Amino acid sequence: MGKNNKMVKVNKEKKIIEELKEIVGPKNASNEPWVLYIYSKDSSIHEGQIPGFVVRPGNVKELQEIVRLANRTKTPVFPRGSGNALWAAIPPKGSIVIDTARMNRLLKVNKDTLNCIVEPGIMWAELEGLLHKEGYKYLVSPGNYIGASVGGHIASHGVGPSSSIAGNQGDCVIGLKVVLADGTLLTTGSAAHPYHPEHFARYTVPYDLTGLFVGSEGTLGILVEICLKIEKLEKAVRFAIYAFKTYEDGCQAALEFRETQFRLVRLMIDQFIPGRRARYSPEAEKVVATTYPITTIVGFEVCHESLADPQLKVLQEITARNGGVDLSTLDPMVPKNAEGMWRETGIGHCLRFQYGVRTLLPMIIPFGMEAKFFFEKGIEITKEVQKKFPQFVYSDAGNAFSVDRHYLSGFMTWYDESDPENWADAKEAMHMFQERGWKNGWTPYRWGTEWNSYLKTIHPYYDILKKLKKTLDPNNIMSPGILGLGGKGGR
Amino acid sequence: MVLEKYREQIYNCQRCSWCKHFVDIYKGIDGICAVREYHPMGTWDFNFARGQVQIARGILEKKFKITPDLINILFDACTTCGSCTEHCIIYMGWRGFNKNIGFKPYLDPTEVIEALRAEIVEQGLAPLKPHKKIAQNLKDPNIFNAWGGQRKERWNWMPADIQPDPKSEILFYAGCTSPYKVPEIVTSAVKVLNAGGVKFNTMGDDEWDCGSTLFRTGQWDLAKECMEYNLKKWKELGIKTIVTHCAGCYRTFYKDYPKWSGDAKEFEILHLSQYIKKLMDEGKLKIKRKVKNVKVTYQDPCHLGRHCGVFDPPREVLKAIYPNFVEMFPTREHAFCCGAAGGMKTYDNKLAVKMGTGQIEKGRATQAEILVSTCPFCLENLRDANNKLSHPFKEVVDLANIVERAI
Repeated sequence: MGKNNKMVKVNKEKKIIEELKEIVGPKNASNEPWVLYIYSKDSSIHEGQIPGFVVRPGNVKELQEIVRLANRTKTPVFPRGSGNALWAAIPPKGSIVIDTARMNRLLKVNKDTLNCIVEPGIMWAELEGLLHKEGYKYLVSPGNYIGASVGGHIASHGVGPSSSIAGNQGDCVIGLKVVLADGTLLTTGSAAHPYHPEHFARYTVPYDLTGLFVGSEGTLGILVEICLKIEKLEKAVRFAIYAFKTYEDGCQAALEFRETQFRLVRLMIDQFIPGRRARYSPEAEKVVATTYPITTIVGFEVCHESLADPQLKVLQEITARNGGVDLSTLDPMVPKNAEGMWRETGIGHCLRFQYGVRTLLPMIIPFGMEAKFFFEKGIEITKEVQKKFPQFVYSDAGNAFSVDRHYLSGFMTWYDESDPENWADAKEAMHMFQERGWKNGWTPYRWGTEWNSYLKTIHPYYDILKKLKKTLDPNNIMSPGILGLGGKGGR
Repeated sequence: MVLEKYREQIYNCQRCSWCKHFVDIYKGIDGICAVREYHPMGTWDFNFARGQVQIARGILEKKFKITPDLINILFDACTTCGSCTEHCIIYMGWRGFNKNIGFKPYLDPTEVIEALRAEIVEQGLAPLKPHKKIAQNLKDPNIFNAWGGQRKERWNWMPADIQPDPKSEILFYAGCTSPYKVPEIVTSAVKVLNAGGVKFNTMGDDEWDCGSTLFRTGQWDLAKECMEYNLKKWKELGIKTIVTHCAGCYRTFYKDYPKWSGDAKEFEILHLSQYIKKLMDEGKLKIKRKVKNVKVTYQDPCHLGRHCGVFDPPREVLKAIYPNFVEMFPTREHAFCCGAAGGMKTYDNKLAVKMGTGQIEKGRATQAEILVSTCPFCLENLRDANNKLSHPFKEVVDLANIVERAI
């Protein structure tokens, strides 16, 4: 870069930081290199990129002003929730990272229309605590619900262990308020009505613009208000783990569990891996390891205690019919109640992350017996990758939790970012998973920049995506590079 | 480079954010980091453990220059209370919450944060002025303590009728804080020991600092000097057991000394609450006055509870005197920091007291009239906070004082 160009760049940066500080106050904007470094990377295997600024708006008006400034100066913006995405949600170089941590309020709980309105920066765990105090709960949260923000999960249409009935996170959203690239505030769903501007229904206008922004990963607009479905806290919960001899048996049982139409808030299928069931007795683990290597983990809730045990009996009958056993008959430590379910599949699910820095490729596969093909294929792919990279431990190819009518599974590898060679090998291993998974029909659902080259091969879907992007963000300031949209930015 | 030794830990952080706002709905835990709750810039990433560990990584990788703003954050954004460690997903796994599948990474964010401060000191960019003053005081032979009181006045509080026994293998370590700032604690402590028939020795005018504040503020060289000095003196005096009423001294003797010196393992370290419990169990100390109609609660000092696992002895002693004991919430390993630790009280007293106010409010929510502590640091800060509130506790007091009144 020539001396003059460098000067122009420095002056531009100086002007931007001054304006940002004017908008949000000097304590809420920074371009200190050490601050930028902290905000440069997510939890994925991909290397970070240093943004130009970090700014923390406290309300919608401030955020709109920031976006207008970005649009005027053609500076990319990158909304950030908790910064722990696993799919390369990495800020473009020189961008304005909009940290939503200050926009973290629960704005309203509408008990009549069963929804709550939140700002994007609130953490799922914080929201859970607040809703529980009111006697309510949200429907779906991410696996790492303690560390994730609501905005980030909606923007990437996430799923979670509780998705069995409620589906993807997007299915739980009633309406949104979104700041567009020119600073306009868009309201979607029923709250767009000029004479009754309340969130209570999603499909009250012709095009489902809520759906457009759910999963857009910050490329079309920035979510500033989210209306989520809520439900009254359950009256009774039962939790069980059933063990089966084969995938066929386990998948068939899982399908039959789903067909009961019980309110299954957990339905997971799990291939035995030594140590995974460590909180249970060694005796039970031995039986599972040798005879019943496939477990299905089921939790359901009912509105009245009297309904719980009869429903549990039905699940037990399905298990027996498919040659399975109730693990609690072998091991009294298997949890059975709501707290046990939460510890096992809520917090317990996160505890799989305890083994350290890892890459995770979450992917979607169809429900029912078809899942068996994908699990077996997944194990085959894992073996192939393991052969080339024996230094890594692999997990989860045969593990999934149910999202309504499909499963979420994936490939996971642990690696060491302090060792460049190990890190590079892990990236290569992940590429092998990506390529082979993709070709075998495993379907990614959160893209970041990780799947850019794959997304670009989907026609005409990707072409429409580009047109939408061009229309809504002509200056290409909204998270350029994410979803393979917008030239230079991104990874 | 200090941080080199912590490289593996630093790279084990997977940025999960559990240290930001941990919630356990069944235990009622909703947030864990007092700095995040009370610091005016608390929701910035650098104000909780993940951000600080990333700063350590950036320094290791030489990604940025260390600026005065950054140095300020490193000392103002953490009380080293250990709550992030307690709720760190990697640390939980390492501690054995679950088995591993072939490997077991280790990360103690609090340890990394302390190392980060030591790195800054090693590079000559710190200690900050108030922390430097502590070191200056310690090096001055006429002062010889952290807080600047005269050396010759260190034992002024000692009751005339209690004399140290030079032959005893038990040492009562008075520390710096109580003798100069809250002498009623140490006075009660020795009276309680005396009532239990304990013959104890002291280091007299030779007592120096335990090194706690120095370890927490990155001044490791002088802290280690204190450690070597103390270990040598204890050996010379023929000491086997050290009893201290101070949670900060206890943690330093119990955890820091063995980390840096093999000699430290020779000594039994007991907090006064543990020793009182022992004396009660052995029938050597009798509670004569129980107070049934007053509700009391207890603040877990981070250094005693979360850092060293001493949760029950203070409670058991307290319950023996006040059957109407109530727990404040959250408590034990999930307890919030009072705000004083890690050099915070010295560096940013306003923030420390703000955090203390939060704890007073939590305590008052139990309807208790008395708040009991087992740490002079906590006590001082909680009293400062209590004085600011319109509905304060009637008394914020150390366990030693409570026991003295009851025997």
